[in-house]
Order: sequence, then structure tokens, then C-alpha cells
Amino acid sequence: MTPVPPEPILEVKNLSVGFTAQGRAVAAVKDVSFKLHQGETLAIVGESGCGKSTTGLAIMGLIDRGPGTSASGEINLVRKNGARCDILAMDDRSLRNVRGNDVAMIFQEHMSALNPVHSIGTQIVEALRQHRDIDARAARDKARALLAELGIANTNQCLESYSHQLSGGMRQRVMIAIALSGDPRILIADEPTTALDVTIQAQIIELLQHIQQRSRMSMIFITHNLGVVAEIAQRAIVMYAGEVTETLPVPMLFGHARMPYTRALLRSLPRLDRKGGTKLAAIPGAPPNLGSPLGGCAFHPRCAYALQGWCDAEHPLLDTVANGHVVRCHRWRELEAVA
Amino acid sequence: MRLSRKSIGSLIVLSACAVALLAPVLAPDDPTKSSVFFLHGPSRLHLLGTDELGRDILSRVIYGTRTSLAIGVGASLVAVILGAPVGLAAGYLGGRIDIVAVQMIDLFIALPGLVLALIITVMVGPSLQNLVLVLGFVMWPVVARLVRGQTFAVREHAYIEAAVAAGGSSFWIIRRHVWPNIFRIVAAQFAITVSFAIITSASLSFLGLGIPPPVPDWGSMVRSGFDMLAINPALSLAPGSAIAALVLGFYLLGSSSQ
Amino acid sequence: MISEPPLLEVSGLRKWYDVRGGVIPRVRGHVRAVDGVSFAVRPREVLGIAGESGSGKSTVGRCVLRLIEPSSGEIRFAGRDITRLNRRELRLFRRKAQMIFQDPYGSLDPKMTIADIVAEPLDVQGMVRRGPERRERVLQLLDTVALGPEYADRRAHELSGGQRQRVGIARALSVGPELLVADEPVSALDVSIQAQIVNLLEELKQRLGLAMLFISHDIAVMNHLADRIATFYLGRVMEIAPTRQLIDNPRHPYTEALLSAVPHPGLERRKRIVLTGDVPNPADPPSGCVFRTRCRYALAACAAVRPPLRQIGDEHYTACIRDDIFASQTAPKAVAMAGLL
Repeated sequence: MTPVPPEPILEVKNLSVGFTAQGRAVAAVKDVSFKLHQGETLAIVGESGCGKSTTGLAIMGLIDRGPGTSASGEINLVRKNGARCDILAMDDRSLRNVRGNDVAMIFQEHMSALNPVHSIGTQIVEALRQHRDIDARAARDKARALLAELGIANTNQCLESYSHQLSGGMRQRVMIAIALSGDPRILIADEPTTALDVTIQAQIIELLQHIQQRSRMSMIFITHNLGVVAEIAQRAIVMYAGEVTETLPVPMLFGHARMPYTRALLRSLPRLDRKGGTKLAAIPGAPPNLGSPLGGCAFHPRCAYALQGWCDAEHPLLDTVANGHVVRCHRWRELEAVA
Repeated sequence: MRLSRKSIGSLIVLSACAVALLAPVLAPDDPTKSSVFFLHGPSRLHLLGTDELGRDILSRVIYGTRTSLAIGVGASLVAVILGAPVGLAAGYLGGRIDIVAVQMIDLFIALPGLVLALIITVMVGPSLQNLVLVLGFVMWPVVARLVRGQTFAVREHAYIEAAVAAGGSSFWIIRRHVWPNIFRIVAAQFAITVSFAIITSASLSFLGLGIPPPVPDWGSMVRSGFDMLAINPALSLAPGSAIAALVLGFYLLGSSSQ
Repeated sequence: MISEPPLLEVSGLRKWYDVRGGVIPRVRGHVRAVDGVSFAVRPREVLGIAGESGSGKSTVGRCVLRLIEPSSGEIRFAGRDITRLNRRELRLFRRKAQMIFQDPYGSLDPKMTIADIVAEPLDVQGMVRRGPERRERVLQLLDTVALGPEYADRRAHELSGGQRQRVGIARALSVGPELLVADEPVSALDVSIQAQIVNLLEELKQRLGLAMLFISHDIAVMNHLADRIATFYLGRVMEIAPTRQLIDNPRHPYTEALLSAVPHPGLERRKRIVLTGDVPNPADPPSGCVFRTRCRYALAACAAVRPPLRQIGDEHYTACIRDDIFASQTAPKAVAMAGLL
């Protein structure tokens, strides 16, 4: 593994994002902090409603600051030219410069992210010309080169096609091409392979790894799939109910996780290497309703180790387990003995 | 109170219904009673004046609400009774039924409603029943088209497939699943159809093809008051305003519910 | 179990869709959604159908229940060819075979109460009259899927995804079927809920003696539920084998690729086979073996003739003409992770 340079290129500090939904205040993201270094892939793992997508959008400066929406904290970015800025403090005009050039994002909904009435070529060229000072012809050549690099065989045909003519895997590659057109330092991928077939997913993951190796790009990979995390990330942040519940290196994730939610999640996954017919260790209950938060630890209603009077009353803070490993649980030390 | 389109529309429609129901109480005079006091201007006895036969204009406007509502709602019911089954069958069963239905719908929609109503009314003669039937007949394709489109949308849901898997017949599924899920939209369209029926029937009356006298009918009142606007503008303005208000009321109610 | 006659027998099932086009509309070709598929399911057995998009797996499930009419082929349920049933017989057949749908949000009518949703098959089939008996049956069914009686009068939008899926299962069970076709029943659910539903299905299979056709793209889930697995590609069966056999000892290149593409938490970074390209156009499939265009072991002979599904072991069938690819390989065994968690 490459030694990680000390200075992070992105630092998220105490990020909190809230919305009002149906008259109630919902804390979608609560006090989230993490760092990202160059060339590193960080996975944000969690289920629906845990706040991982909102975190990704916040880093892109895509949180709509309308009435009822609040965002606080800092998102400190070191840009390509060395300048530092705080995404949350910037206005939309300055952010437009950042987006695509320094930070880019690809989404799960590749169907709607591409404009159906413009050809693929038009869209890639448009993206390229937004970020670089080149003419139409050079942009077209660059677009072709990008597509070839992303493993698309018939680049000319692809450039002239429209989004509905392409398969899911192709569309995702096109989206990646558009995202990379500005040569960003950080790529945020929000569930990019969830809607794809597993063999296509394997292709896309390999592609992203190849791009990373070539350009030392950093990636924030948002997913609910722990298996994909194992393939692609060096560090992982597990989120639950809007909070970070555990941050740890990926090799630790699969044997030395400390937070009961993380461990329960791993145990409940169906696995190819397990003997069939055995009962899965399912987590009882359902993910929490963010509009009506409970006291104490957000996971306690579903936790096998929850202690009444403690876990349901006092909200746990982040504890350091080891270097690079933090956990939000009252009982993690005791539970260490209970493997 | 929020003055939304829906609340304004509801207010107008509910007031009109109240007026129609309470007409005998609200109207100062018998609307068909003629007198020698013809073409009088507004006075204490006759708040809006009298018409060319000495009848009280206000009473005629009040009682005219009944006529308008009867035609409007009646014709719309006919349109729904004719159009909804066609739309449901075409939308759910598809195939040849749908092809035939679409041809018919397209044909009728292409014809201008007022002209068609006019021609048929001339042929069959104007009367309350005929007017209701003719207008209903003119409007059924619009209802059918809407119902068909909505049925297409609902048909794609998995719960429809589940009902098929349970062994449900097409009739069962349409009755139990399709209709309840499209009802709200059809009801909204119903209100709009009522407004269309009222204005069209008023137009027909204005052209002399409305309900024959002495039944008080707003369109005819506008027509007969037309020549005498200089003497008493209320002759036309009162019924005219009533038409506008009621049409607007139903339209607001319908379009805001969609 | 081996000697029992099959509950469901599918032979040569085909579903081709016409492709129309041109100024004068005429049939220009066919999309071969299901292209000659044969398999069997025994009583109380779960057969998993694994495949990706375009594999035809959902279409097969629907053909088996006659929610889609097959173009040709035979489907025998308890010995009778169900493609030839009349309306009345078809309705009776629906008591024996039911479906669980993928979308927990679209598969429940938003205007109905949960009780009505669960009881609908009973109502349609005329198996119970409205009244206390019906109510009792509904509560019983809800209890089977671990939902309390308080849910009976609620509406779908008040329930979570996992709860809705339970309602769907209760509905399918209401008429007492022998076969359940489950079309991606857990794919739309959160990861932590999936395990709950998988466990429920497993328990129901044991308790009620249900046979199941479990359709999914997720082979890991199938490992837990299925007794045998069939892998599908472009409308055809590539391989059928008992679950453990298929996973540990695949004998078809597509199965091998499919297994290796599944991201495994905790496994050593194994050599992964990444397929190149996309799935071919189902309206214009490759000649011979449809997988040959992406197969790393393809030979010239693979293009000549469509390979038959041939038996290569105990209950193990493959549609690959080559015997030499896997013979000497031992399948990559997973590092024993059970102890570490």
C-alpha cells in the first residue's frame, strides 16, 4: 500500500445538514468529520436514510440552501492550484468553478443524469469546454480519447448515440467520462454500481481503480454494499441515522469492527462461502425515523448489547480504538472480549 | 382562510347549490309570473328590475341556477357514463377494443363541440332532456380519453399483476383496483366538464336553441336582454355574470384538484 | 427427494416478442426473451434462477404462472400442461401457484387496507365469505409473516419496505399454494432488512413445505435459500446444479464469471474474471453458444451449434461443450471467515 501523505486534500469538520420535511426538522447529517488524502479511496457505508448521499452532495456544494435547510461546519478543500477554500462558505458562482475541476460526482441514477435530447458527444464536449480552454474540434478528440480510455470499443458510434440507446454500463462510463473531463482531484461516486448487473459492476470497479492508479485521483465511494467496499476502498466510514458510527481501515472492517451495528451488518449478509440453510443473523427492527429521533444511541433499539439506562439515555461520543479507528459506542471495550 | 383556487371554486359551487336548493325561499317572486310592469329599472320591489314580460329578473336569475346546474351536472353524468367504460375497457384490455375506441375518440374530439351540439339540437329539437343528452354525447370522448390514459398508468403497477396472479378477472380488477385509483382525477375532470356544459348550453340558448320558455334559463335571458341593454343592462348582465361565475367556479374546482 | 416426481416441469419454453418496424409495419425480427428453457422443480424444493439483465429470468417466472403467455413449450404442474388450461381451470391453478413481487412499494394497492390486500386472493377465488371467518384468516396470515393484528386496518403507505414485503408474502400464502415464484423479493430492500425476509422465506419453506422458484441476480442470497441453482444468460440455461456444487465447482464459463464478479467481503483479493463488453442484442443473438462472444475459453466450434444442456455429474448439467476447462481446477475456496466474525 502506498504511504499516505500527511496533508489531507479534503477535510470535513463537524458537518451537519438539516431539512424540514412535512413540518418537522430532520437532521440528515449530524456532526460528521473525516479526512481524505490524495490517491486514497474512502468508502461511506450505510443504508438508506443514514445521510451518506447528503454528505456527498454537501461536499459538492449541492445542498440547496433554501428555507428550512441548514448546513453548518466546514468542508475544507485544497484545490489543484494549492488554494484552500471552505465549500460551505462559498457562493454558487465560486462553487461552479470548483465543481468538475476539483471535485466531481457520479450518481446512481444514470438514466436521468444524462440529457436524453442531446447526443453523448455533445454532452461530453460541453463538459470539456466548460473546464478547459479548447476549441470544439480538440474537445471532440479529447472526448473520443476519454471514451477509449474508459473501455468503450466503438467510440465514434458512442459519441453519436443518445442516452436511451446505450446500456446501463455504457451510460455509467459516459457519466464517468463527463465527470473526469475537468481532471478533478476528487471523485465522489454515489452508489454508481447499485443499479447495474454484477458483471458490469465488476467492470466499472476495475475501471475506477485503473483511473485512480493512473492519475492519483482520490475517491469517495458511497455505497451500502460491503463487498464492494472490500474491493475498492482503503478506509471506510460507517454511517447510521446521520452520524458517523465507526471509521476504520478496510482490512480491519472484516474482522475487527467494534461498533455493534457494523458487526451485525456483516453478520447479516448472505455470503457465498457460508453453508446454505443456516439462518442469517438478521438485525431486528428497521432503520430509524430521522424526524423523531430517540434519546441515547440511535442504534440501541436494534442492538443486542444495549444496556437499559445507558444506551437509551446517553448519546455516545466518538472514541479512539487505535490509530485511524474511531467508534461511537458506549460498550465497545467490554464487547471486545465477546468476539 | 387561504384564498386558494380550490377554495374560491368550492365557495362558488357550494353557493350555487345552496341558491338552487333554496330558490323558493330566496327568490322574491315567482319567476314565471308576468305582470304589466315590464321593463322597469331596479326598484325596491324588483331589485334588478323586470324583463319584457314583467317578470322579476332577480327571481329568474335565482331559479335559473337550477336549470344551469341540472344541465351541467346532468350532461357531465351522461358523459362519464358513456366515456368512462369506454376508457376503462380501451385502457385495460387494449388490443382491438383500444384501436376502435381511439378511432372513435379521435373522430369526435376533432369535431368542434359547440357546432356539433348545435347541429344535433336543431335536428332533435331543444328541451331539457335533449340538451342534457346532446351535451353529454359531445363531451364523452374527452372523458374517455382521460380515463384511458389514467388506466394505462395504473395498469403498469405491480398490484395489478398481483391481482391477476390471484385469479382476478378483468372486470374485478377494473372495479377493485383501476377505478378507485383513477377516481380522483376523473372527479376533477367532471367539474371541468360541468363548466363546459354550462357555457355551451348557455351559448346554445343564446343562439335560440335553449330550453323553451317559460323555464328561466340564463342564456335565453342574455339573448332577450341583448336588444334592450340601454333600458336596463341588468337584463343581460345579471344572467351573464351568473354564467361566468358558475363556469369559473366549476373550472377552478376541477383544475385545482388535478 | 430424488425419487419424487417433479411438481413443476418446464420443457423447451420460449417467449419471443415480435419486433415491428418500417414504414409498412411488419414483423422484422424477434426479441428472444426466453429461448428454449427446460428445468424442473420438485415438491418442497427451492430452485434458484440466477441471471443478470436480459437473461429472461423474470419472464420465465411469469410464464410459469401464465402471467405472460409463452410462445411455445410445455409447462407441467403436477402433471398437467398448464398452457392448455381453460379459464376456470386456470383460476383453480392460481390457488396452487402464487407470486411474490420485487417492488414492495408498487405491489400493494394504495387505496386498500392491508386486510383487503391479504385477503384478495381468497375473495377472488371465492374461498371465504366476508365476515369474522375472513378476518380470522387475515390475522392468521399476518401472524405467519410476523405482523401483528394492528396492521390489518392500516394502509400500505404507513408500512416500511420490509413490512410491505411481508404483506406481499402473506397475500401469496393466503390460498395455500404449493409453489411460490419469488421475483427478486429482497432486491429493493435495505441490506439489514434483507436478512429478515430471507429468514422468513426459509422458515416458511420448512414449515409449510413450499416449493419455490427463487429468481434473483444475487447469488449470495441464493446460497442460503436454494437447493439447486440454474444460471441463465440471454434467455437460455447455462448450468444447473445443486447449490453447493455450483458455487464450489462451477462447470460453465458464465457461472464462473458470475461467481467471481460478486464482491466478497473478507475474501483474499482473488483473481477476478472481468467480462469484456456488454450483453448481446437479444433480437440478434450470437450463433451457437450465446455466451461465446464474452467467453475467454471460446473455440471456433462454439459458434457452430447451440450446445445442449448435458449431464456431467449427479444432478449437474452444463451447456458448455468443453470438458477440459474446469476438470483439473479446484474451485477457489473461501478463506474460513466464519471464525473471525
